Amino acid sequence: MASFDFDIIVVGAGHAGIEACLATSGLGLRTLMVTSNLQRIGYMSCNPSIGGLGKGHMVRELDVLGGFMGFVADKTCIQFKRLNSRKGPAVRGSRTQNDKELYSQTMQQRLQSQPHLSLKGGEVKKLILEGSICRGVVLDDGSEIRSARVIITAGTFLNGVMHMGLEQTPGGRVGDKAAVGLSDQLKEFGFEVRRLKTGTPARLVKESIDWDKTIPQYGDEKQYPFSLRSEPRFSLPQVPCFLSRTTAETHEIIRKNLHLSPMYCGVIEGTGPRYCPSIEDKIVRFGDREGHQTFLEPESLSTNLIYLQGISTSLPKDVQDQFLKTIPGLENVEVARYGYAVEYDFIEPTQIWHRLETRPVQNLFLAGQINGTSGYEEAAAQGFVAGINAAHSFLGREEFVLGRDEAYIGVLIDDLVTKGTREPYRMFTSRAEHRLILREDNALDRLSEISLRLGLLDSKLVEKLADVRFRRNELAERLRTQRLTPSSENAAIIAEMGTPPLTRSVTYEEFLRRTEIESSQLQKLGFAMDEDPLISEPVEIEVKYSGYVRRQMEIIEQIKKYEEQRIPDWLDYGRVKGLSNEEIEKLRRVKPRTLGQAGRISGVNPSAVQALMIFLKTNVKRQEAASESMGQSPR
Amino acid sequence: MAGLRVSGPRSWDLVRKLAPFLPQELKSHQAYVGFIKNLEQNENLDQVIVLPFLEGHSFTGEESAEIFCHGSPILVDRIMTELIAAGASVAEKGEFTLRSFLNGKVDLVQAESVLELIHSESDFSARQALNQLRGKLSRKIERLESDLIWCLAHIEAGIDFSEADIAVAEEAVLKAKLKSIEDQIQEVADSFAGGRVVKEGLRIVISGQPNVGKSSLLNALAEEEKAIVSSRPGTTRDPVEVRCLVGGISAAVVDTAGLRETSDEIEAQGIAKSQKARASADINVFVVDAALLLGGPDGSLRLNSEDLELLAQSQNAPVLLVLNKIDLRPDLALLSEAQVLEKVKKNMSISEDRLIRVLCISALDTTSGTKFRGALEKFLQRFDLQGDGVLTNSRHHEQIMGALLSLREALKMLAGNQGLEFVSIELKQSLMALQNLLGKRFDDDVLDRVFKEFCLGK
Repeated sequence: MASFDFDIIVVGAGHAGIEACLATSGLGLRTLMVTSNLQRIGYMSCNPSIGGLGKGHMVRELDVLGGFMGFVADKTCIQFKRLNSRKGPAVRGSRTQNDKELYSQTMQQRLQSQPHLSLKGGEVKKLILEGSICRGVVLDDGSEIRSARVIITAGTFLNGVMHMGLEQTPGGRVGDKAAVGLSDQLKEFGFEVRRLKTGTPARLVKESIDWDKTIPQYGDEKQYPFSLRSEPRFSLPQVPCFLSRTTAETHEIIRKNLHLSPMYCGVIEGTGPRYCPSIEDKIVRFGDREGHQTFLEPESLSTNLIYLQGISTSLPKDVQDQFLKTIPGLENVEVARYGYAVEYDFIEPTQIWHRLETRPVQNLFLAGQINGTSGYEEAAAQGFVAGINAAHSFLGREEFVLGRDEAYIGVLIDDLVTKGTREPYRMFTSRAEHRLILREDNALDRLSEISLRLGLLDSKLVEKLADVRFRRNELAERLRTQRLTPSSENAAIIAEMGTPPLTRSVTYEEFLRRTEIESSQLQKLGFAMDEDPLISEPVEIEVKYSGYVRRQMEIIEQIKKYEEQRIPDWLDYGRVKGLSNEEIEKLRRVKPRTLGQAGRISGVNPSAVQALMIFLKTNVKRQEAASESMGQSPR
Repeated sequence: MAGLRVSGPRSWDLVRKLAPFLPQELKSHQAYVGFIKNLEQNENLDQVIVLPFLEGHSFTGEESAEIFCHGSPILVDRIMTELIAAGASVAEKGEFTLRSFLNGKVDLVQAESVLELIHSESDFSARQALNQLRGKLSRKIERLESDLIWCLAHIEAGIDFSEADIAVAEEAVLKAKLKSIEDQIQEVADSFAGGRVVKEGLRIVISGQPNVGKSSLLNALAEEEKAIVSSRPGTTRDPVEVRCLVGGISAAVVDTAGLRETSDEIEAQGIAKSQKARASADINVFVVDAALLLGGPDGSLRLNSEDLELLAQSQNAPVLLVLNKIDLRPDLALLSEAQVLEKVKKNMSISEDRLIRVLCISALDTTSGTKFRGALEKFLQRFDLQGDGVLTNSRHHEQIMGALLSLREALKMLAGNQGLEFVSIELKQSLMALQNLLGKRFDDDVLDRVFKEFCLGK
């Protein structure tokens, strides 16, 4: 047995790195986190906000499983919004604006107080590879640190290049240098490494803004913290964001200067996210409209910096200065930091397993933007999964893979390792075919069993989890069994509610299924309702949704036959008739577990899935025929 | 002329064994003329044209060669035998198409069309199969698919990007668009009735009292003696079927046993079978003896009560009323068929749209077959047989009905003000059915459209 300095090394201290090292150290493994900048742990490089549609879902899932993002987001929340609050519960998403300075500090303190975890400043130049097994890392000072598993969460730092106009600076983020060496080593090893691009808007000085020309946007009165560990109300003062719009003048200036935009003169080769285009992109693709909206978001209660949501750009500084001043409220604006684009290397994610270990190199795990994703939440989710799996593989436990029907985190990882990505991958609710089941409100019901098996929660939390589940079940049970009778007393109350009278006695559940009835009204009809929304809301939603959920399950059943058709890992795709070379290559790389997964691989056509199915069928037939003839007497 | 196709790796080498005139270097898509020999090379079998196709550029997508020889079945057989001796094996029915599909040369709808082309019995269905092959149905459904994706993109953008500054279609617009998609899918589905007629053929059932000349009429049509004709009532005991072409459409014309009370058990069985045949009829040809028509006081014509009763019993298929033995009624011969129709209709309680035409005929006349065929062809205009994206395949029909039902469910939900996240499930189901039909995979089409359509982001 080789001797190690640490069990686990986590490279990077962003949102993925944090969850990864808290998970491994939380399971008692000696963990080292290496980062080039110890001052910027859990730094929000872009927007000062956490959650949103699909993303808020993942933060809650992570919280139930034992992650930390949700708790710290609650603790540093300066505005809360539940998006789509007027739409159905499955498509509601929580989002917080956060004090990014406090967020970073809190995370730093959290890591420093974590047992079994050490932090170290330094840049990782290389991996120690023995054949195809990773044994640790080499730092820029030449020192070697050996470990049983390595998790890389390098963000946008791998060969990062920042663009502002035609000026290019190596670096992953303003103020931080790029990581050079690591991705080249991986490329040499045979990994497919590609380029992606992302961008960020300017940061403005608060005092230089004429706020009267903007429209304040307040958060919700009703608060739903992400974490089970949090108090029901946020502790920091809540502040508004402000809305303004670009003008015809803004567009004019940008259009005139497009030749100075690195995206438009071909300097940037990486693909940017389609859902998050730069202001240049917006104007080229969508024209003037009535201006493009922008939110002015405070970055912190303790600094005077304002984030200009919606206006990410890579135009030169003087052009930024010019066009910003044409936005109402920004006539005299002072820019604290200009917007820029950043290009970076990522590892085509079809080269990793669902457990986030790479296929070519054993003991090496990847999480976050290095896998082609975008967003703090996507990164944190992967960091957590990579951490658990690195630990499990070290401890000889089984791999931790969440299903597409269990969690958005499962959808995220299955999409990545199956389809790969051409642009920075962000979660949307429409990516989840089980959207009605994967709700924020039932994250706890979906994942608490799994979480208890992982064993990361402290005893207080385990107790809380059990208590919430017990109360939800108890309430659901009473709704199912207790009956409402059409007595004259009830009839009067029911008539007042504006709903048709009862013709026979029904269970409270049946009554609650009426669209116009809310659970809070049942109290008047003699039902003891649990008043804690943490209990009553999910139970009510479950009752109201059950018909739709059943319909969704029916549809899923139809697709399931492909999901259940396993593809043996020894299958040689070269032998399957009717596959193109490209398909053979893709199938060989992804090694899908099921026909369903094969069908989700981009570039694998339905005809290929048919061909595979035919091959599997005839093969199985042949095997059956062979075993049959063996039973017969020889001819 | 007859054509033979050899497909698969090393096809060219295989053909060369029988065609020594082929040069060492073959060009794809070029015709080579020469004598094909037997394997021993000592006997010329036929002068042929050989057309080689390079891998990736042939119908199957494989290396292949086509041999065109003279059309004698015996000759074709001999060349086949030699090819097999040289190492080829006989293709399964539709195997070339299967390979073509597996090699991605045709899509599922196209592949199924080719299979139908092979199996089709008549010109018309051959044309229709060709239409599908050229993707007429595919294109029609692709348009519907694209419209549906547009609706879904707006719904999903409204959910996932509700904070973004985007104008998604309002529900009224969505409803109108979906309604129009529904109508168009309905149209495609409706064409199935016509489509089935084209593919499986028309069922024409001849019925009427005994000895009114049903079999004579059938014979006139088929121009051959299929049914035994005699003047003794009740000769036709079992339904007699003749397959023939009517206006380019293959038809099964069924002559049923005379409808009458009988004590003969065998004949009774025949009558039961005939009733069954009538139940599945596309056209009911009801034959009456013109000589037995009664005149009304107002100059109208009246079927006798037995005929009326029989007609009432028969199924809902449209009726072509044939007045046979018209030579016995010189008074009617002077009237146009439309006038006769008017006169007959007055005294019948049959719905307007069922009794479509009257045909006055003398089945024994030599022109009766032509006249009968002409009447039937006019009758066919009832069906949508334009071949314009007509659905002919039951798999297609099943998928299109699935798409339609889900779409209707979605519209119902919209009408009931239910959440768009629910509507979306039904629409995705509908979309999936259309994409199944096209042999496409349900994928990120909706998100792609969202990004194309809307200006999003920070």
